[in-house]
Amino acid sequence: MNRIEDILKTSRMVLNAWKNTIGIYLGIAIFLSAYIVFSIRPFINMGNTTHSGITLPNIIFIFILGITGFYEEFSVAGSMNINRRVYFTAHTFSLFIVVIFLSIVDMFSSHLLELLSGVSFYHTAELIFQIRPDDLIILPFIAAIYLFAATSGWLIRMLYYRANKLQKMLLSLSPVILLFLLRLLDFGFISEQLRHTDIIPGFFVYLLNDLNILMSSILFFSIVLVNLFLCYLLIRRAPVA
Amino acid sequence: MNLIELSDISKQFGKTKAIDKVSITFAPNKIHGLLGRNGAGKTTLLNIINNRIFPDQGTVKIGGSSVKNDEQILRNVFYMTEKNLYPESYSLKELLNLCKDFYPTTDLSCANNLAEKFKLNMKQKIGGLSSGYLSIFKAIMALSSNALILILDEPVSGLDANHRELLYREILASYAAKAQTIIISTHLIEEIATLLEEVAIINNGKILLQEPVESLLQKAWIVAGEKSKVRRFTESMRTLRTTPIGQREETLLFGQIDNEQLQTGKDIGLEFARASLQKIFIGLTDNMEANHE
Repeated sequence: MNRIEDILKTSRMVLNAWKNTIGIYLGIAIFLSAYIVFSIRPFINMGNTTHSGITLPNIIFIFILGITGFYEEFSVAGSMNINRRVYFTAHTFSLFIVVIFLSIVDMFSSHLLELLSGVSFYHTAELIFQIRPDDLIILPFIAAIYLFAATSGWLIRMLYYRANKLQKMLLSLSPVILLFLLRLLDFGFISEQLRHTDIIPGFFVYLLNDLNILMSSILFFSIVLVNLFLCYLLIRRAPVA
Repeated sequence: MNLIELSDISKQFGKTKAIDKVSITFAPNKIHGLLGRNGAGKTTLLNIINNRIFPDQGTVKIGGSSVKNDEQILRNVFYMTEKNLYPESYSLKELLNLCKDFYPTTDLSCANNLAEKFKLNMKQKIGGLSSGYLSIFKAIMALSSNALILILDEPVSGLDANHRELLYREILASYAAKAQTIIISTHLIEEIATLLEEVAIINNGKILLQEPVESLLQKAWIVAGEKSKVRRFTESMRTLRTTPIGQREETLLFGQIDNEQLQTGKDIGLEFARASLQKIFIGLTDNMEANHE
């Protein structure tokens, strides 16, 4: 059996394992989105009544999928003696498939709701960049953000998977420590010059706002590549147990 | 193709040396037993063979190819682990189909036949299985995979006597039908003894011995009789274990006794019996522990 065949079979296994979760999530997200859109429909004439689809819930969902969608599938693949490089490629490929699928569902469901309800659809990207780009330009941007969320979740899971007890504890505490340090910076305890720098929000504002949509997409894709490279390094010597 | 060679393998977990410079070869087309006490390093060694964990040093070769450089070689190996690696939400059928995907030699009708024999309902999910039936399911996957090498870690864990007996029969049937190399790691030595052709005993991460079961059984004797006579007779021999029974004593001898020695022993009223594999195992491992301490 050649490697490509192995990758495709492993991807199918991973996607099969994820399909119920994705289906249930999309069902709930689209239902809630439709419910909200139709509830605000009577206020269309009052002006400024818009909806922005399911992009933000999708980002949160795919980040969580990145975190939770690794361990069990990796164990099953390990039990079948699938090698780690094949699994890594198949997992990455599966994430790409899910991201493309969610991006299309996001755009399609949002436009459909707009058509059915008459409530204007403003995609999150339009709100950020203050332009009305074509769907074909928005799609890669959404895909880049989704991939960023998915691979960040996966990277966190990989770090946790490879960590020892002490490292796991530090990893769990790291968001709290980071927030505490940022607060210290914010209050000027460390340096007056760094006061109110809002480092993390600033970083994302830079990624999203100070660039055009294309540059933002490229930047997100670059971070995705870094995340994937780190995941590869971590999976290469990961124990199956 | 299915020769397994380990050379100079070491593995440390924190301060514990789990495997200590182990070099061992599992000859093809034989049923090997890997025996050891709890924590002796059996599962660690099997995990290393399967590249599930990495040794700190040493190499593992299967059919002449290093598993580190050619992970594809492991597609000829089915490793049934004691630990469950299957998610509870997976159905047995789903897993069997996956097995067919990754081990194209898998015989689904053989799996269904085995499931019928063990009265295992294949429509269940992993989460619904008792620990015994989980072992049965894993064994069914292993046996129907038709892989060239089967590695079974505690295959009868949680099984009742009837199912254990049935599984041993099925392992033998599978072995007789195909040219397989089978490694079985278990605690139930007495039961598995008749199945094994070669045995390796591991203790404190080191291989104590590896040899054909038949020759091992011929080496060990239980000598019983009056205490002083037993002691006199075994004086210059390697004894593994001595059990006093009132004025009498029973000693486990490890080494060849020739016919002349046997006759001399019998002449002075000693009784001789062959030792079981389990007795030899206990004797050897206890002896090592004592020497270790």
